[in-house]
Amino acid sequence: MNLATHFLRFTICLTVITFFASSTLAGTITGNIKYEGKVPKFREIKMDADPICLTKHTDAVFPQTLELGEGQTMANIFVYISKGVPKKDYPTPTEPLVLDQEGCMYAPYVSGVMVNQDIKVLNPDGTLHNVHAVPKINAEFNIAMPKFRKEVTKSFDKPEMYIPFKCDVHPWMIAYVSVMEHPFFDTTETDGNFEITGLPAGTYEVSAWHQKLGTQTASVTIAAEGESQTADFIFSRPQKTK
Amino acid sequence: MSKEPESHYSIDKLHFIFALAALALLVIVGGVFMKDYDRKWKDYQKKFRTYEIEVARTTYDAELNELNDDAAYQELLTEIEKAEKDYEANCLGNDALEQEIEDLETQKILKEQDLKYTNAERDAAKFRYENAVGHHVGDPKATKGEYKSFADRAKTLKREVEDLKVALAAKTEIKAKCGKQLTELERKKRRITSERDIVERKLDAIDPNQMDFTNRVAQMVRDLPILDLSTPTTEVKQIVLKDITDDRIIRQVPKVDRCITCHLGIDNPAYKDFPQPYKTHPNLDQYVSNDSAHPMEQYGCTVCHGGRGRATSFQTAVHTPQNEEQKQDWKKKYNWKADHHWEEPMYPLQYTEAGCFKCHSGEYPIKGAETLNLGLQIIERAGCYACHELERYKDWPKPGPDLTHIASKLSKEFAYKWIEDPHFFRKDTWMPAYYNLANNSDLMSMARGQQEIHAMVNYLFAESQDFNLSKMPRKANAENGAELVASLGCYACHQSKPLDGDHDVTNDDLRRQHGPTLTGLGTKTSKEWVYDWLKDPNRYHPETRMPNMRLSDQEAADIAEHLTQDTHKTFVMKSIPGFDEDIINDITMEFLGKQMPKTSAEKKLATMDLDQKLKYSGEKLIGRYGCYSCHNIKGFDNAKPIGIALDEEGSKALHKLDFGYVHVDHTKHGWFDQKLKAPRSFDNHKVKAPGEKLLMPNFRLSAHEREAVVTSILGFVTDVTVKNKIKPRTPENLQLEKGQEIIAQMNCRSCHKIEGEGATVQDTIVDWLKAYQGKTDSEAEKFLTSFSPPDLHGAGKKIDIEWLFNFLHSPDVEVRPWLEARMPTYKFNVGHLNTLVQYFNTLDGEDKFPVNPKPDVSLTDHEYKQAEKLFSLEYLGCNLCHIVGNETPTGTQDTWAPDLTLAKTRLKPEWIIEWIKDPQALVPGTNMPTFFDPSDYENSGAPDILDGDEDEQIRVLRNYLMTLTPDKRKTKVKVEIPASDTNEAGASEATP
Repeated sequence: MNLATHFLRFTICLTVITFFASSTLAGTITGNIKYEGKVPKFREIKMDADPICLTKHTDAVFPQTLELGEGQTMANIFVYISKGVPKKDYPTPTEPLVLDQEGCMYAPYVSGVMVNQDIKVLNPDGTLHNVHAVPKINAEFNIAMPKFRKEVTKSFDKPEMYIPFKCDVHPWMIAYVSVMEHPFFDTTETDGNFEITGLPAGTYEVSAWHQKLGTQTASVTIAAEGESQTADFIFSRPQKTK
Repeated sequence: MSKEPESHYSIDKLHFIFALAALALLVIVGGVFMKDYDRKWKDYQKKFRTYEIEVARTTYDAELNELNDDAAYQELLTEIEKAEKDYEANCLGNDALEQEIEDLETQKILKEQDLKYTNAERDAAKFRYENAVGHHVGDPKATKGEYKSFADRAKTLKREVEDLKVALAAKTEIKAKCGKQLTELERKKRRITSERDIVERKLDAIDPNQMDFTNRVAQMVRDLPILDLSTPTTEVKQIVLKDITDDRIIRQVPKVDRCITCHLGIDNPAYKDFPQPYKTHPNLDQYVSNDSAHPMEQYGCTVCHGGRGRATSFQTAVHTPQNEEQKQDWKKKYNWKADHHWEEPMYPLQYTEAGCFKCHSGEYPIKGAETLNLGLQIIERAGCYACHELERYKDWPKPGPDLTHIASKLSKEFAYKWIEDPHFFRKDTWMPAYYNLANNSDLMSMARGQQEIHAMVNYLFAESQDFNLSKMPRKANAENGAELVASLGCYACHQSKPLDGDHDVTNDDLRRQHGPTLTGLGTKTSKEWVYDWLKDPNRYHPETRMPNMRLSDQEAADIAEHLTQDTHKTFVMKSIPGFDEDIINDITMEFLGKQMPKTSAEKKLATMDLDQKLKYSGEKLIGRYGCYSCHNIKGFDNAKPIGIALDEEGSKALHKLDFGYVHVDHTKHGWFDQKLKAPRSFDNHKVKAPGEKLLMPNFRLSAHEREAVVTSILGFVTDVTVKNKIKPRTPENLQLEKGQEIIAQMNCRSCHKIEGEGATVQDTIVDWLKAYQGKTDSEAEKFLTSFSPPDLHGAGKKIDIEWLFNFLHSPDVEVRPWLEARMPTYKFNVGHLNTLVQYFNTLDGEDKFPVNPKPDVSLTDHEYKQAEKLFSLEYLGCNLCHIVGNETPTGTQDTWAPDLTLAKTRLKPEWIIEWIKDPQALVPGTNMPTFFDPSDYENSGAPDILDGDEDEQIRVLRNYLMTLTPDKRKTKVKVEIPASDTNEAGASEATP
């Protein structure tokens, strides 16, 4: 491949990207989320209850409550637009959310889907799991996944935040899935970054949620179509009141 | 000039007077008309009309906005617009098309006619030609040509007619299509806008601004005096009830309630924020609305609320203010005056639930009536029914402890101080105060009171029977005792310290106060006594509701050690006054004087020593105060309760209540409240001998508690007018009520959720998980269900009748061995047990005929093997959570589930099938996973077992569970019918 082909490809890519960017003219909110303060120690998860789970791990397993990257950036923060999204029917993604249970741990720990979007739960462990969602608004379900059932697909038909997913056989297993009416949400990875794209101009309330440390909000205005704004959050443990 | 007739009076003057009188009469008649015409309710209705318009307008605007925002609707509008244009362009006023159709039609008719004639001519020519050939008449050649030319012409004409038909059809279709789409669209539109249109029509009917002139005038004329006889816009609105009556003493007449004449928005949720009298009823789910349990059209208003239903003014409806402030307010606003002449005034707002009792008197609890239930529960706890007869509690045990062996439990000093002021020892005790009350707190009475207490204590101890306390283990561990009290579930019925006085007591609180609060036991009694009590409460107190916790000797000793560590120091330091023989003599003389003449009484007194006097007067005093009503006391076995019966107290006439010199509202609720607050205060300023004084003790109820009890008492009425509305006395309903009564009496709801209510013990289980299991708040919350006594929802469907009977009789089977909370052994008799078993079965509709034979639970060898496979870890892994006899699951205890070896005797086989199929449907939120997902049932079973047939898998699994026994998982298998053989035979036949 010579340089010219490379250049051509690059130009084509650039054109396509610019075209898309200018055609949608959508705003973007990005940000980074950090943790401040002493990192508490978590007790190791004892998987003695199920030998199959035990054999899946060589290292000690800890709860996913606080997963930090370099510079204490936080993973598993659910960031979403809580106010200001124009009401209309947003198309439901056909791609399902995949919720894995490998090694008797739910992954991802925190995630979001849209109303009626499929959630595909996998069981690669070869042991009995039961996917027990305990929503308050939607219908509760508690589906067993014996060895022979490798996947189960479910969905929720009403918006609801942070639905806990339990497994009653392995009480340490937990995941939180939020059911959204719009596609403007993201979950941070260990680098703490999030990106919400495709927003029309307007003023929005951005919320960042952590299961233990609560919700923080920020107001962000996208003045012109296509503008990009940032919103950073810092979480810390509340001071204990004596 | 004619002469005036002679008269003694001036005619002119008389005319003048007559004219004046006539005028005055006219004015008066007019005034009467005006007065009669001017009714306050008309003003309310007129005002409501403006609100109605306001509401309709807001709804209309909202509907309009919604329609504007509705994308589908907007799209429809543009479509309609397009269709209209289309219509206009192609159909409407398009005379050309009409003309064209008409022309075509004419052409067609003409051509058809032509065709007919031509056909006739052709046939004639044909005949002529045939005739020429056959009969040689005429020239065959010429006739042939003639025939042919006609035939050709007919053919052409036929084609032309057909063409015309096609053309006409095309044009008519265009015409028919015209407007068809439009009509369809218009219909769609009407469907979407129907709500708006309804409001619009309503506005047209009521809003003067939206009416045409004639209508507006008509509206005005309709309301003019006299003319308003026909169809006025303002009118008295009423509900007439045939099956609820008004008691007119001589006869029962249909009930008529006119409350809705002014309470115009009562059934319309749109008026919930409007001022009275327009405000919506606050509980439309239960009352007033048509789909509620008590629709307005069937129940009216006054049957629950009281008051005069036929009245149409504020005063005559007998509204009753809820407090002084409202009373003053009403006086100002409505010129309100108390009306003593109507026997059933409206209940003040806070006592409204009193109206529920007349129909729901058999239910425990009365669903939705929180205040009334609280009142009834206080009556149960305080034991009001012991002194005051109440039909509802006629078989209830005495509320206080048995005193026949009092000397083994208490000291005389304790008993004295306790009677003197029970609340000083224990703030929240249900034992009421008899001394230092309004009519016995002067110096003389106090001195006498002290000696009275001495006398009663002396009698009780003199009559106390011997009671041997069982021997207690030497060593006891208080710390372990504390943990046991926290874990076993003692706090389901007892508190460790009195409730916080700041918050209003709730029904849940009272369930946790079923037994006495466990404070100061070290001061009250000995640990030996507590030990003995814990080991077998019925031995000391045969009627007690305290169950047997089946404690081991050591457990009981540890708990006794722990409980008796708490002492009451200031109580110990209280001094006891000595005997005063003069006063004791007076008391003794008072009673002796009632039995014999004074001289003999004095003689008799002289023969008695101090002990004898104390015992004699003690017995008499116990009789006077009615201590035996609540406590078993020797010598009072058949004594009658001392209070008046309360069953009709709520309908007692006001004048029968003695208000004495106390300044309280002269209302029934005012009197009841005062009676509970200061029961003896109606003696104030009265001159009474000791024996004539009021006796009711003081329970020290808070204002909130009194409000609840007053609600109940107001509800204790006899009311024949509602006899058609009472829940039918069918065997099922009676069965349920009897079960509910035992459940209330034994406080089952403290541990179990029954009919969706109860399980108050859970708070204390959270405390235990945190204090003794090292769980955090959120963990404790998560583990709570696993460590709580079971919810009894659907128990009747689930549990085998015989098993349930035996379990309730002697619950020492460990269904959930990981639970620390212990199901105690109650002293139920056979009647109780049957009532409870029937209750649970009736509740779930399980007692209906026909009885079905028990399902066949046998298994073939093949099926057995398949079931065993399904049960195993490879498939469903049942024993991952379920205990199976001696085998406990590998997981932590919070994941454990009931012992499956009990299934055989404990569970109903039909239920197991339902349960495995869809556990969430039976117990929402259960930890039992759904193995056979009902949303995809056909594909939910393991494909390689029994051909993937889900129904079969569930059946064999159930049957397999029925083979499990504690020692061995496997019992006998039915002699095998080789299923595989038949399959093979079938297969070989099919293959040639």
